[in-house]
Amino acid sequence: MLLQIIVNGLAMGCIYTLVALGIILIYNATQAINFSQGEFVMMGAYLAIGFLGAWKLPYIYILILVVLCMAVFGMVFERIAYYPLRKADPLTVIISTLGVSIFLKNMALIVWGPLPLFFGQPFKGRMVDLGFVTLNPQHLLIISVTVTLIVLLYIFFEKTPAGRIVLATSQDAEAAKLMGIRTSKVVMVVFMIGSALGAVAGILLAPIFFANTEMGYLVGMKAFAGAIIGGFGKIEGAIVGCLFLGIVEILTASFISSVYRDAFAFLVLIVVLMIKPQGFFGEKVSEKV
Amino acid sequence: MKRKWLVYGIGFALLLLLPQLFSAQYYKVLFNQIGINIIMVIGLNIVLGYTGQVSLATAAFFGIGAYVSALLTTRLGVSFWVALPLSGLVAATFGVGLGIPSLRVKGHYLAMITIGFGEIVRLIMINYKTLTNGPNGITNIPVPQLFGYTLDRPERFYYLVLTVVALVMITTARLEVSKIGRALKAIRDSSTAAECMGINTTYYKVLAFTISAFWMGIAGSLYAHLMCYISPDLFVFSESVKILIMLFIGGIGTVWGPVVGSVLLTLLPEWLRFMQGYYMAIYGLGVLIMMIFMRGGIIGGLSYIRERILRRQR
Repeated sequence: MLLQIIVNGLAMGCIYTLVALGIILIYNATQAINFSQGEFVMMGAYLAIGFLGAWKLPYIYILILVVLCMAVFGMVFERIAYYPLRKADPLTVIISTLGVSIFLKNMALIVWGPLPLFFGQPFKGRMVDLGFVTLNPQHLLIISVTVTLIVLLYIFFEKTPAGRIVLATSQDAEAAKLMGIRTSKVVMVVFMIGSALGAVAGILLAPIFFANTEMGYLVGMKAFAGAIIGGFGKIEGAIVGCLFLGIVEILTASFISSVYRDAFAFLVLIVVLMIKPQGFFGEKVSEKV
Repeated sequence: MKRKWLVYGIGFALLLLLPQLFSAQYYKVLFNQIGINIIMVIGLNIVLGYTGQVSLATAAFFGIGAYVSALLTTRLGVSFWVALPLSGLVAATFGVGLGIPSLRVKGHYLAMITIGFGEIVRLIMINYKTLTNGPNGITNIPVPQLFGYTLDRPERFYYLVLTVVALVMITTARLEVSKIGRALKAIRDSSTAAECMGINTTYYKVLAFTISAFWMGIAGSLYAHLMCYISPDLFVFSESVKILIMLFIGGIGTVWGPVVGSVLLTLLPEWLRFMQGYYMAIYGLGVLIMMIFMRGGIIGGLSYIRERILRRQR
């Protein structure tokens, strides 16, 4: 029973991790927080339902199709909401992404209506029985896809020239520019990756939750909270923070109070930050005058 | 100098006549709404525009003010005139509480704490049913009485809102040029440098949060007694975002920015209503376009144009 609960929490934590990775990659490359990241999750879920309704393709094809669409969308998003403001204050970018978030949420409302939509179950409701524990295969899918994506991202950043260019830009954009890197192209790629990661989270989440226009907000906020708990800007921090948050959340819901689940998640955030203001992995940066 | 006061005088007289100029009840409610928004945007401006501390808990303080006032008047039968300042004070106490993390935590971390605080407050409003009546909210909130005169119609309530807005604007304008205002701006520009100059940053940061929360609480109380009904779904994150956007569109860190932003962004969605489902989507796009072409907001854009003209004349 407890194991089942923990796997459930880990699965939610993985969803938050995927979203948080998008937020952090974009933050590292641009110093701006993308408040539309949660809406990418919503769009991923809705697009998946839309494609499924139109063509009846297998789950895996839907996933690839939606990821491609959302990568293109990420590119367009960067050109419209970030590029014109690249030299402005980071707070201005927050406002512009909030504007896009309102736009996307309301467009989804127009296209798909206010009622929550059900994606259907790719595993037909079957459970995986391991003898000592019964698990939801969707949870296992979420965990395995997330692990695979993290490994792929790791290989991309550490082993490929293109990934190193992105990494160099996110560590020091000015220096990267001096080394002859076209940082504006890199930022575009980062937005594509971020948007695709959000969409994957949405597709994975759709079979568990009903898709609705509000789903992006809560997932986005929890992902942001997880990234903050881990130490903002750190990839390993985001993974640990989000998994931690996912487990805390599910334990609260199971043993303390299900209605105060989200309240506890945010309470944990506040307590962690009061004890360790830089999060688990954050470095203490001294401020320059 | 004389001309400036003349302009203010005429402006104020026009504001006094405003409810008489529009006959539609709908517009009269809207004027109250604008006033209440102005109070909240000014509150946010104190903490974000002057002190540079990111706060996204506007809706929480607004809600605390509204609930305190509504509960005091409906459950305990307290007079509105007592409940109004009390709701500000209770919100301010929570503001002190939220100001304390700002001493240890900065930037995005602080933004997230304020979002978390707002979410916790909202969940308590929904789930602590014995106190707040849960998602159904509080109904039959009494209308204020003044010298036997009932402020039961929006055009009467308007004068109360107008008075409070004038009070908030005058005190904030005084605050900005006072020692406190200069200290807050020094903290915004560089907290460390301000501390080196002998400014007690701890005290001033918490003070900024407190003043800001006080005004937001007052706005909440006014809202509760204007609408006579409140429920938790009014005090959500998107409400905080709305106020934040008003501040940015109007012009952050300026005196008139909050006024311009509130007037424009309260009226704009109403004017766009004929587009039915599309109006909020258009609003979102509008915000994006405004940010791209007018980064300093309307007031910032105007002062830029004015500078250009003055330079050309020279």
